[in-house]
This record gives sequence, structure tokens and C-alpha cells, in this order.
Amino acid sequence: MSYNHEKIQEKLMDVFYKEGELTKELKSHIDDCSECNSFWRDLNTIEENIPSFDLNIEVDERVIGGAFRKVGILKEKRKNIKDLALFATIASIILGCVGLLANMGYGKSIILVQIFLVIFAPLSIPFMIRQRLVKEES
Amino acid sequence: MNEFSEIPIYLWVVIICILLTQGCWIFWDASKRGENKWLWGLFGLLNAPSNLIIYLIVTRVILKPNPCKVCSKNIRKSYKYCPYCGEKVG
Repeated sequence: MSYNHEKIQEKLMDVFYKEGELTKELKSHIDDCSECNSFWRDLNTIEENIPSFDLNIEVDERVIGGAFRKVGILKEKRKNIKDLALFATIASIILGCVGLLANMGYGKSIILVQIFLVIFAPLSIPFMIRQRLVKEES
Repeated sequence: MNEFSEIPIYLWVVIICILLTQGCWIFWDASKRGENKWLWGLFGLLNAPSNLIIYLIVTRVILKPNPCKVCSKNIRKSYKYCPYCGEKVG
């Protein structure tokens, strides 16, 4: 669509919304130009059919709220996938470093740390539960 | 200690894969449940399978899930209204 057509069609839109007048210049262009003629006819068709449209649509806010919640869930899911990929990368690096350290001769220290964790990890359960309850309260 | 260098590499790979799988599964499960996924994920990397057992006990048994029927966020059983979406649940 050329720039001239665009300008003419903008003016036709103004006429449609009663913000401008249908000048002789515009009328002659509509008669001569098939594209703008078609555009003007479409606008007139819309104007004729608008009264027959049922604009009294009931708005159920629960449906709207539900739609927003679904969007939120989808966004969260995508974020979780990205975070999982990041976690897998970081975890691979950490475990790779641990494996390297074990191969370099620090295996005894790693075993001691593991024994410590096996014994004392269950003791962290009350703290995790407390953190969860505090989070629910806030 | 040189005994660790005598352990075949494939065994290291198996151990790393097990820990990685465990950590990633715990991370994903915690993210679905609204738990602190990073903390649980790192916890899952430390030890297998004891940390997995601890995670399952904490999330499935001790803190039983009670999701809201509307927004699926975990809420306490004693709540009458969901604090996230406001729907009546009690």
C-alpha cells in the first residue's frame, strides 16, 4: 500500500468516526481508486451491521481470573524448566569437581564429609519443617 | 590416599549420574510443589539415597500437600479461605 493510499484511508477512518468530512477530493479518489473504494465499502458494511451485533456480553470475572491464573502457571512452568537446566549445569560442574578431587587424593576427606552428612542430615528435618511453616504463616 | 585413583572411571560416572539424577528430580519435584527448589536440589546432590528419603518424608508425610482447588497452591488444612486466590476452601 503506497503512502498516498495510507493517508487517504486514514482520512476515511476519520470520516467513519465522524471526525472529518467527506470532501470532493476524497470522493473523487474513492471513485478512481479500487483499493480505497473497497476500503470505504468495507467501512460502510461495518457501519450497517454494527446495530445487529450483540454487544451485551456478560463478563464473568472468575473466567478472566482463571485465564490469568493459567497464564501464570504456564509462565512458572517455563521458568522452572530454565532453572532446571541451569541447576543441572551447576550440579554437573560441582560433581565433576568432587570427582576430580577424589581422584587427586582427597577421597578420604570426601568420605568423612559423606559420613557426617548421613548422620546429621536427618537432624535438619525440624529446621526445614519450621522454615516451611514460617513461609506458610507469612 | 591412592585407592581412589584405582577406582575405575565408569564407577565415578555412575555415581555422578545417580547423584545428578537424584538432585534434578528433587529440584523439579520441589519446584512443582512450591518448595525451595534450589535448597532441596543441592540437598539432593549431597547423598544418595538417604537425602531422597528425607525429602520424601518431609514433603509427602510430614507436610502433607493440601492444594487449593482453584489455584493449586499448597495451603494448610485449617484454612477456610485460600490466602493466594481468596477462594473458599473450608
